[in-house]
Amino acid sequence: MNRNLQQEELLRIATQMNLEFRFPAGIHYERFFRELKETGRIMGVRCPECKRVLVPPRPVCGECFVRTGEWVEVGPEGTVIAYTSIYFPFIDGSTGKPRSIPYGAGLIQLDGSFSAINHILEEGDPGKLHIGMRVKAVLKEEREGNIGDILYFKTIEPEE
Amino acid sequence: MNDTRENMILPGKVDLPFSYSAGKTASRFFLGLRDHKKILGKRCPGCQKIIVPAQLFCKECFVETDEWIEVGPEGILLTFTVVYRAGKHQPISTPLAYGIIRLDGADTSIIHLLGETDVSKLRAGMRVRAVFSERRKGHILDIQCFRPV
Repeated sequence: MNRNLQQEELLRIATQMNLEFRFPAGIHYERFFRELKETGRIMGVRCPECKRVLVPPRPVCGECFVRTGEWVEVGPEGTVIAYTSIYFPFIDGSTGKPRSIPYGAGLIQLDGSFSAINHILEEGDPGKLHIGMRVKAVLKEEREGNIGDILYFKTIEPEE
Repeated sequence: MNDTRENMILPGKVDLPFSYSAGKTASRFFLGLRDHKKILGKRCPGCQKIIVPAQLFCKECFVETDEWIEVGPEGILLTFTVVYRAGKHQPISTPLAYGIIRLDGADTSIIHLLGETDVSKLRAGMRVRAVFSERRKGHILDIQCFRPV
């Protein structure tokens, strides 16, 4: 053994970068969040050409390249079209920190919507999650006008 | 179209914790600060320059440095900048000043905070001296700042 290596203390330098930023919601997200906050409704927009309802709402239909028009309410129930159980969390943009694990997340196609949104699922057990399961949005009591106003999607027990 | 409400601004946040192994040369440099309040450099056997902070290799000669040499704690302020914009990434409140300091005995310069003075009194070419922190933990901020002599 190299005696020098044994004697010298080796340091580990720890540091933390906290990146805070702000971004404009834009016309469509702004209305989406305002509706969510003030009325608790989840809103999409319909493409006048292909008639698809896009959620979250956006100014242009990605298929038809035309401006979207009519605002329509969707959900609050929907169907899980993809899911995952998360054990290695990504950073939650509202807190800057990872969520506690494990938790379920999925793509939820809200009733009346063509597109799906990515959100937290009440159910996190991979043995109980399945494609096609019915879920319902659970909203915060005191809503602030951001995506966290939808707390998660709870499982709706199938009717006997 | 006539909505005169202010645009909605959404906040975002990403906290990135990380750490890195300082390696044998930088570890000894930081231990010099922490345990002995000494600023250490290393001499390049090729160009004979004393590199501060100590580096394992000379980037000019591509040879491993050998001899450890204490430099400072005084030196010359070569240039500086004053920061007025506050930010969480800054170690102290603004206005603050960063300087490039050529320590006595060194052939390279280090960047550090300038303190214990009014920023308006800073001049390039002035003599400065390292102020060590009371609580040192093996980090570049074991030098709290450099103050004018």
